[in-house]
Amino acid sequence: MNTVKKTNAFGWLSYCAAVLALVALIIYWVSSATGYMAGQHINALPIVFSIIAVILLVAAPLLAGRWDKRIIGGFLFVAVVFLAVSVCVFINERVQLFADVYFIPVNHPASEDSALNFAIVGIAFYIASFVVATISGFADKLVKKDKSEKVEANA
Amino acid sequence: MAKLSKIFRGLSMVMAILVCAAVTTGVIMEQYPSSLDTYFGTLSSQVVSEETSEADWIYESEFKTAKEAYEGLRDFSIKAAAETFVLLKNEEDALPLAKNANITLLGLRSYAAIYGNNGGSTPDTHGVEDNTIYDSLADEGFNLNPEMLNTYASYCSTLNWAPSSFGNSSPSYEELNVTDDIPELSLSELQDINPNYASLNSSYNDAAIVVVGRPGGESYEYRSGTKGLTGMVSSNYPDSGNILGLSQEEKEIINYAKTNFKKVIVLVNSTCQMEIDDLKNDPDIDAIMWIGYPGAYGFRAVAQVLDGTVTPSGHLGDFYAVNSAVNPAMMNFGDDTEWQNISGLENENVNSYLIEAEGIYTGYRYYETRYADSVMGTGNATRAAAGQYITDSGTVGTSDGTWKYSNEVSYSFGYGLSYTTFEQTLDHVTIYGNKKLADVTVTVENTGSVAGKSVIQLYAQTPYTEYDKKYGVEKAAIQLIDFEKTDTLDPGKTQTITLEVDLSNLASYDYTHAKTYIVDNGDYYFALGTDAHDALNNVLAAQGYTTADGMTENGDPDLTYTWEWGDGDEEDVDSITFSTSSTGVEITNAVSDGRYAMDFNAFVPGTVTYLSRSDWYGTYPETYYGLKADSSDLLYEQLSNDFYTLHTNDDTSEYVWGSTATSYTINDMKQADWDDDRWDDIVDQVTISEFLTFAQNAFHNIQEIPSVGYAGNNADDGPGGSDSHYLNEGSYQGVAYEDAADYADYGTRTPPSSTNLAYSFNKELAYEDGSLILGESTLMLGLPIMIGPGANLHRTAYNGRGSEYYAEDPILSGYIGSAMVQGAQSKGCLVNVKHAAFNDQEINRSGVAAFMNEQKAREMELRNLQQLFEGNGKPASFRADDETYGDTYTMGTLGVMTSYNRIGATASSANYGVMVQIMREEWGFKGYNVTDFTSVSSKAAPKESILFGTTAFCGFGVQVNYWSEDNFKNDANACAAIKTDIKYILYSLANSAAVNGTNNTTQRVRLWSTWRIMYTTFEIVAGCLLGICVVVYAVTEIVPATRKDKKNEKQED
Repeated sequence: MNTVKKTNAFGWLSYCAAVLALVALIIYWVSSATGYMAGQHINALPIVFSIIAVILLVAAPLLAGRWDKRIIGGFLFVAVVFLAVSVCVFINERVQLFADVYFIPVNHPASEDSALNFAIVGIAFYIASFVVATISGFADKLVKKDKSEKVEANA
Repeated sequence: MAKLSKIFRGLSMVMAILVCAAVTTGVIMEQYPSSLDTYFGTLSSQVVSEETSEADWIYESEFKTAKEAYEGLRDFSIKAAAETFVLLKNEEDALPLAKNANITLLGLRSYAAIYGNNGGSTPDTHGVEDNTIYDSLADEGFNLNPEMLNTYASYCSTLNWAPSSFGNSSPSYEELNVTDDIPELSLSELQDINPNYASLNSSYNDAAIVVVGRPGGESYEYRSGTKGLTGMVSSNYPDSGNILGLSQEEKEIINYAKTNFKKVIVLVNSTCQMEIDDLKNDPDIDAIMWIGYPGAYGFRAVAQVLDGTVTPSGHLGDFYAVNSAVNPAMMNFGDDTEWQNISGLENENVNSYLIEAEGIYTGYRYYETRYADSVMGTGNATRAAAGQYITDSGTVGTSDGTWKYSNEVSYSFGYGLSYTTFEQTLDHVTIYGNKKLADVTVTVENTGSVAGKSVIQLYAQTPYTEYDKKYGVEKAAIQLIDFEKTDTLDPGKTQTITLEVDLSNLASYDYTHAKTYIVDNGDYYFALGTDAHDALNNVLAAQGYTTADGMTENGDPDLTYTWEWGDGDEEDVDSITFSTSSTGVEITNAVSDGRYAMDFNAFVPGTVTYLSRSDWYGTYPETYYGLKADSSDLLYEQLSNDFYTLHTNDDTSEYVWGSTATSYTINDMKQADWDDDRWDDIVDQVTISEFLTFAQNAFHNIQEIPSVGYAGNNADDGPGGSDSHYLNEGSYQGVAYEDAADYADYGTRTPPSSTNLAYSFNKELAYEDGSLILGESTLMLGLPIMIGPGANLHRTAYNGRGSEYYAEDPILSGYIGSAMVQGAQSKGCLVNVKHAAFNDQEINRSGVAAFMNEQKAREMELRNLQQLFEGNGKPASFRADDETYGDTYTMGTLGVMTSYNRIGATASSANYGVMVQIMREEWGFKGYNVTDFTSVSSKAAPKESILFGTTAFCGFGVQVNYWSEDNFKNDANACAAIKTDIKYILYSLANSAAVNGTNNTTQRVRLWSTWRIMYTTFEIVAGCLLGICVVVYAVTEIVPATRKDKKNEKQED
């Protein structure tokens, strides 16, 4: 059975979470390096953690059925934790923008609004990513059972 | 088991997310504790000392209990408010009313009155709710028409009361806090609400009191419909067409009052100058009284003035024009003047600019000077173009016509009536030998029949010479030079007061030729007057002019004093006498040329024509649309707020950081002089990182400096009392009030507005206001820094934030502000005078670039601020009582907050000309300098600001990439500046209540504020659940799987 046919719905959710995380990572990177935030220090932690999380989320369904399911479960758990940490750092770095725009009653550059809005989109992607990954985490397996497994089970 | 394991694997993930969320919440909250305290009204830390001795305490509060504090603030606020109201009209002694008069209150503002600012020191809500306009009048003995009152109450019950503001709530109805269309109920609307609304009118017929008002405060902005401005002229404002004129509904209510009641009294509940000429001229309006924003308890004072318990003694601190939108300053105001083609500067708040082409001619300086020229027949004064004058019928001229003072003015600056009459005599004038000081002695007699206070308004006129015309030096025909207020004088009683006049305030700044302050040769005049116009008429009378020349009335030359300066050569000037500052620094151009210029012509020559009295018609300002900067220009570079590159290879070995050679603490330096030898050593103890951390954390707090044993403090916004702290947090000399719980939510935001205070013309009252409202906030609530007073000049009537500032005149504003500072500092309050400088409009306030010539800058806004910075304007009564007040006015302000707007093209805090050359060098300012809410961001040009004396950045932290010790330590300029900035910080803290009651056991302790309890609970719960889930997950999946593995192994064996 090829990989695509073998993957079940939860496995696809893991791939989906990886894609969402990748988009979130790109938004974090771009929003940190351009516009209102351009030139400011970029925290490497979300980048590293997000990349690892994406790799784990892709690896989990790919290796499911071949590797010990405890390890696969660990992949998902670590991926979710890494994504959560990434988004927390992302949020922490954008609190100033949020506070400037929403708490201080003065006019501010339109680019500050844009940066905040872009960040909110990125944060939403991160949240969607770990929510989807978490749903995968509730699954028993990320791949369909093959016939040999069924036979084994029947026996 | 397998089912359980997958559930708990998922749950473990959910809980891990929650733990992350909880930890992040905590981390974020702990980054902004003072912001959260402000917003939620909590207290998350407190500075405590284990044991204090008497010697530790420098300042002492007047209040030992919350009850004393509450009553003290209340009583003062009522007393103060009563001195601020200005009686504008009182036909046939319509006022005072009988104490038990039957009254009908009319107008929406008669129920939903404006007590104070909305935003920026909103009045104490509890205070207002206990002292509403209707309760205050009723308690004073007036019988109020209940049917009318209930009608308005019924309407207001549908509105949202006390909307939350930053750190507090605003005692107002949210829906009425608008500036684009004034809410008022028409008669038909009253009828709809209550068909019987008029049923009791005949029983409450002694007088109708109609209240009209306009809200104001931080972020409030009004717009008019004149050329060059964002249009909002509406037919709903039939008198002037402007929002500050009376609306159709307001006029309908006033007409109703005229036809149904014996007397009509109008109360003007606004700090923006409303356009009320129709009321002034209407014979059916019996009395008009300006009450401004009287404060939390102020309507008790209104009641006392209405019934004659207190005689009104306030005078206008602003010019009341027939149409405030038709004057030179309003030609450039608003937000139609946005920069064009400014690409690449999207992050620095490069939005709009303000070309203040009117020069020194704002307010009465414009109207009275043009009047004088029209009388003298000079300067093309009577010729006016369309849109620049008011016609005989009261409309704005639509073609070339004649400018007439009488068509333009409702009430001049300084105007104010009383229930009694006074006679003032100019007894004696002494001009001292160095011509820097004069004594002017005035006797005041109460010639009326009731007791009251009188204001001595001393004005001056300086000559307008050929030299001035040649070099573009402008002169106001009349200017306030000093003022004093008498005690309460019984009928027939007199009081003699000697004013000590600082003649430097007569000097003009010549930025084109002498490039310093000059005094023209020619005749100089002092004049007493009941207002600016009266004083000018007295001067004109002394010069031989009469009504035959076009004067509005003949003046009294006996109320003037004349002396001559120089040899009469009009081509020559004295450029020596006032060319050196009080610190001994040579005064020369600071903002006329180069990158810090405020004159737009310095960047793009020939762009701006400044208004000149040599040709009123020909130089009347135009609106400057469409200005732009090319990316290669100096203007563009300044607008970028990035014009200094930090050096990386300077020899900085001479600068010592984090020295352990000495171990002084801030407590060792209490009250130390600036010249104390120990400063160098203690400054060396501080590291660059400590300084940067201190500077970046200045939102309603003062960051700790561990190396000098400074534990940090809370701070708060003013200027009318603490924004977010209440008497239940109060203490006396470190001991919490026993009755604190009884006064929860009673605050110190109780006094009348700053504008009201200025209108009192009472320096002693302002000193007391500073002492109680700012100073006691500091001592009672443990807030060494109070951000206030607000002291920008009123440039136009349309700045909705004018209520937070004093007046249009630099001497009135400067001396009232100075008294406020002195009073506050007498209690150890480290005031932050705001906003330095030129916050001339709230529209685009963050980033708008204020341009003007240096004469205007120095003679108006900066002359005003100079009085506060130098501690000038000591009241005559203080000078006469050296034993009590000998140690007052010995130190100027110790702190300042810079403005959101740019000074010229540069962030205000990074304008060297104002921040260093003028403030630090000329005025000798040695204190704390914090930005407005910019954070450490490109809005504030942080590295440049540090170079020029900025010690802290109010805001939410750092938004630039160079904010580290490594980036500053190799730049010699930065190192030198940081050393000086650290000294400014430590010096101002050591000379304030930041070290009151402190010793070497003093530390800042964390308190379990509500928000801290909440996030900690969240962390604990989420952490516990995560632990449980992980354990169950492990037990249900890993352990069985391991057993299975072992079993398989055994089977294989």
